[in-house]
Amino acid sequence: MFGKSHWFLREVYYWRLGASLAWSMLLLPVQISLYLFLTNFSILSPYQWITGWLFQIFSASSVGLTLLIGCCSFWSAFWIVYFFTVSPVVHKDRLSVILDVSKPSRLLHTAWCALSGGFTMWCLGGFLGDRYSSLVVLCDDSRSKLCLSEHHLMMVLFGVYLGIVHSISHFLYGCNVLSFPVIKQLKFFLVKSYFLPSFFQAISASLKQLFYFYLLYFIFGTLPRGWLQSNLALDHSISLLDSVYNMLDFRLFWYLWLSGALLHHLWHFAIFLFKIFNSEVYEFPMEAPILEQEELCLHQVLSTNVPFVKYQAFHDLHNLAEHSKKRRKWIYSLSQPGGHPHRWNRVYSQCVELIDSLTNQLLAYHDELASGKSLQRQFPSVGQKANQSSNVLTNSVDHPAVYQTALNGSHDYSQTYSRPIWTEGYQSIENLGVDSPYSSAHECYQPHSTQLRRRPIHSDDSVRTDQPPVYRRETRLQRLKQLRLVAYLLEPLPDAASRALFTDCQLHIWALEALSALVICSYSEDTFGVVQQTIPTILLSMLALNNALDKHFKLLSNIKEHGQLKDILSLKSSTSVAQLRVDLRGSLKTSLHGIIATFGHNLHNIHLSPEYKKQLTQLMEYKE
Amino acid sequence: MCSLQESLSPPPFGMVTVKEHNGDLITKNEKEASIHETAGLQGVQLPKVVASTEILASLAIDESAQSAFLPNKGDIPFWKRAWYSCKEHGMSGMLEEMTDERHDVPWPVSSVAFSCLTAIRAVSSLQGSIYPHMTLTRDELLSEFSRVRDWEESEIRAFAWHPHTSKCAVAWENDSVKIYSAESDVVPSLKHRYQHGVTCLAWKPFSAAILAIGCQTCVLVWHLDPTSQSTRPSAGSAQVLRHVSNSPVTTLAWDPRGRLLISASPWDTVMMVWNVPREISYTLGRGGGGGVSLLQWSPDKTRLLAATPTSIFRVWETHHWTCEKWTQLSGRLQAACWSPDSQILLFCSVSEPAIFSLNFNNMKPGVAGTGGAQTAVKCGDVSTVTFDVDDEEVRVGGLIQDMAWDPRGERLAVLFQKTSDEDHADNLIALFNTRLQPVLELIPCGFIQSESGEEPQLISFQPNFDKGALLTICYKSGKVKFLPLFFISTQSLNEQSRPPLQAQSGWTHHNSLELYSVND
Repeated sequence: MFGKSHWFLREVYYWRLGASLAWSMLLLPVQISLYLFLTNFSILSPYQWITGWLFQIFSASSVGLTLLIGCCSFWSAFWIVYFFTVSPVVHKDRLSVILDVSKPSRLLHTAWCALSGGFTMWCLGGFLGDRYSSLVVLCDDSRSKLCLSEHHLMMVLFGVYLGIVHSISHFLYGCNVLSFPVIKQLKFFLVKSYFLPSFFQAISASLKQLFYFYLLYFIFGTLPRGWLQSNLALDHSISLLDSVYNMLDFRLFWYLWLSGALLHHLWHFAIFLFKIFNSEVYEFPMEAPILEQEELCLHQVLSTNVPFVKYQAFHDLHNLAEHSKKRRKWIYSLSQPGGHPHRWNRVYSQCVELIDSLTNQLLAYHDELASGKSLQRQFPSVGQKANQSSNVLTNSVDHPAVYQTALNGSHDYSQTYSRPIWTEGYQSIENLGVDSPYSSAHECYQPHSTQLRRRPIHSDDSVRTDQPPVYRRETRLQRLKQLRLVAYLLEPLPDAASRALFTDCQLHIWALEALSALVICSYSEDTFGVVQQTIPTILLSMLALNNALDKHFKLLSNIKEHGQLKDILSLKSSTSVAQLRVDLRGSLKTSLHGIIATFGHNLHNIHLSPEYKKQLTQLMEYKE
Repeated sequence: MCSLQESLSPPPFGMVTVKEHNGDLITKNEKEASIHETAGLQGVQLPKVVASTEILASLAIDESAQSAFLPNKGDIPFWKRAWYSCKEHGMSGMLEEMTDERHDVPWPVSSVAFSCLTAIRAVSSLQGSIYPHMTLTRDELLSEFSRVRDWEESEIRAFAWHPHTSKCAVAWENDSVKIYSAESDVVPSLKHRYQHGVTCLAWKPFSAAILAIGCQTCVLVWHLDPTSQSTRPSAGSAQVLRHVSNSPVTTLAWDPRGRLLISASPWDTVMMVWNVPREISYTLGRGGGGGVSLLQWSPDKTRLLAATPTSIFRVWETHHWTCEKWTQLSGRLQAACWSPDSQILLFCSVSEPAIFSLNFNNMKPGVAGTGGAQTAVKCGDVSTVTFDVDDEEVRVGGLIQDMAWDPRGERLAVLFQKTSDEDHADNLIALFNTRLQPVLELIPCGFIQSESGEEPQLISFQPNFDKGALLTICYKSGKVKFLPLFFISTQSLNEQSRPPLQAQSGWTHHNSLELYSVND
């Protein structure tokens, strides 16, 4: 568990989190002064514009307001950080997308964002002064009466609106997934190259949201206005923003636009910094000086169950395989005393295990798809979906026999497909849990290497326990599906089941590339020949995965013929998984070609089954 | 430093160089040479590149449909016209329209537009005085920064060998790209709506058939099936990688392990590092230089050369992606090539007839950086020299258009820029014999004479030719000539003279060992 006591949390994660938050706080005054520079904009009196701006940024009230905004965005950033995850979530249907966004913790986050948006806008109103700074102003005509300052109200409400939109889109578009860049640049240059595009992005996003907000305020604006006027016993007679003509106030528009852009930029910049700091490569030590620190070492961390740490470990392995000759040498070295290649064996077995687990899952999925198809021919049911993958999911439960098959296979009937925890739509870094409980496959690919300990990959029987409630629930669901809206919400999204298999295949990509790079470098660097002995196993694992993937993509091309769905609930967060899937295939091919090109015809000496032999020959001739 | 004067005199006009045999360039007269060419190259299979005689109407049409219509200025209200010109030609187009139509437009609007336009022009002329290439039109830019000598006129616009097989891609003048393979007669022809103004091609290393094409507006990555018999792969098998500011793409580089693709444009200071399957780009670059005109990845993947259109070039180290900068070149860097061990960079500038070398063996342990030497060394002088051939004076040499170094680092071919002098033999390609150990040495060994009337446009070496080196010359007429250079490499000579490896160094190397395999 990534509990409170995990060393990575203490020694790396908190520091990185702290640094990212500190930098976002340090850069806050810069962003606010730019904002003030633009709000004070006056082309006719540039001298006053500049001096006014300089006076304003150094005044005591500005410093106080900046501190308040700083506190607010600090907590916003801190909270967003809590929802981060490394593997994207794949939703089975639209209902699961809605449920995912409306989880209590996420609703709480939305509420916080709304509150913080409103509060920040209140502070920004303080900078602007005049009728933007307070909710109640003196009416123009008579000195005695108090009126509602609608400009201020509109600003605060815009902040609330932006907060809600930000929170929902953050989860809907999968912004909470931490992705790792392919090149490792210095943070300074990353931030530098981020600033200008992000500025324009904030401006355009704010403009877009402002358009919708104006519409909303025009239609529903009387509700908060009336409520406030009656509760605060204000003068009803004057309302400044109740007609289209009155709303065409350029200054108000300009302030709202800039304030929205600033808010957008503050939030997104904090997320960006967090991502930069945490997607950085952490160099795990290769050797521990004392036995107690063994768990800190790379080979131990590779087998950890905490996804975030596992990602970091494989990222580091990939990095060292590609770039660090010194650390590669350590992997190729022999143990003292004894002269065993323990280090290489540990690293390589972890990688091969990971690759084999994916191969097994794919084979199980294909097997299930095939059995689903054949059973569907035997028991055709009413209301079949055109979609092939959906056939498996909906029809297989109509018959107990199929039902049994489905449960023995790797399917789960929870709302979202997400690994490692299937029923969880997301995992925070704090509660990233145990390893995937997907059940073992029917037809397992058996790698024929006996020299290494190979534990059964991902066996967990907990899925098989509660059959009757699930069955009842499914029949009830079938009845509900007669309704059109329910049918729309429950219609399975295309190839969701396939995407679910690939949610964390970034790990597999790193494992493949690292193995390939280590094997290629071993040609000139491995002085003891430790890698040579394992090349057949590695090659076999890769070829098996290659076959399974080829088959999978053939199946996918059949599914895709039925057309793609394109609405807001069926997209985005899971498209990244589809790209990961393509990426995996590409890097597998490149890795195989790399090994084959390095060792060339020597590989013919390896004993392989005729099918693999043929494939190897084709790869050698660059026919595949 | 060597000079072209030390070289053997060029073959007389009418003779054609057909091959190199252990250091001697063998020439034949044109009739014999054509027979020699058809007879083949001692069992080496090569693709047959035929200049396309069929008329292939390009999908990307040069002429827009708009040109068929006359502009109508009479009835349309001015604001509508301004809106159209804003859509067609952008902001500056709209301003021009406003300034031109003074009698239609209220005077404050036209005067504001006029002052805006003047300001824009002043800024762009200022920028143009710092970076002259910014003022070029797109076509001028492409022909200036393309590796082809005469991009506008040449039939062949780009050429690329597959890094592992005997397969090559040729971009033709009509914007189609064709793939020629030695093993198959099927010639797939690639066309795409965006495939316009092709300047560079790059095959992905360690892949069967993935080809990146640099176009005027984007990068296209074609995923081809090597076993397919189809001659027209569908446009669906091409990925379009597009970035707003990064166009036109004039140089592309795959990293030698085939993971990343980098594209660059002379108009954009940043390069785009693409994760191709995910279609994500990462920006990479430093200010200064005005753009990136040439990218060359060192064979060991640790360094990347990025030349700019000004007299600056940078070399990036590819671990932390930091760079070192070399300045004070006499002009922009025109061509460059890495030695096979990635320790030496040969380059030349656009305005000086010389070859420079830069060493990269100064890596200090523990210090990140490229390990490059402070200054480049002039190692070859290729300024114009005069030879007496058959009582005729032949002038050879001058500014360099392109250089190609064979993958073993034994031969360097140099293509010269076109000159306007009548008596200048700028169609000769100079060939140098190169030695890397103990220090870099360039030895001029002769000139390659082409058939009369043929102008060489592009040169490159096949990456996997095992009998020496195979120089490929693309001509303006669309002809592609494969010139074999048969020689015994220094490396294999050294290996023969040494005692067997096992005896010499025990465990340390197992290049010649058989693989140890495990039986289960």
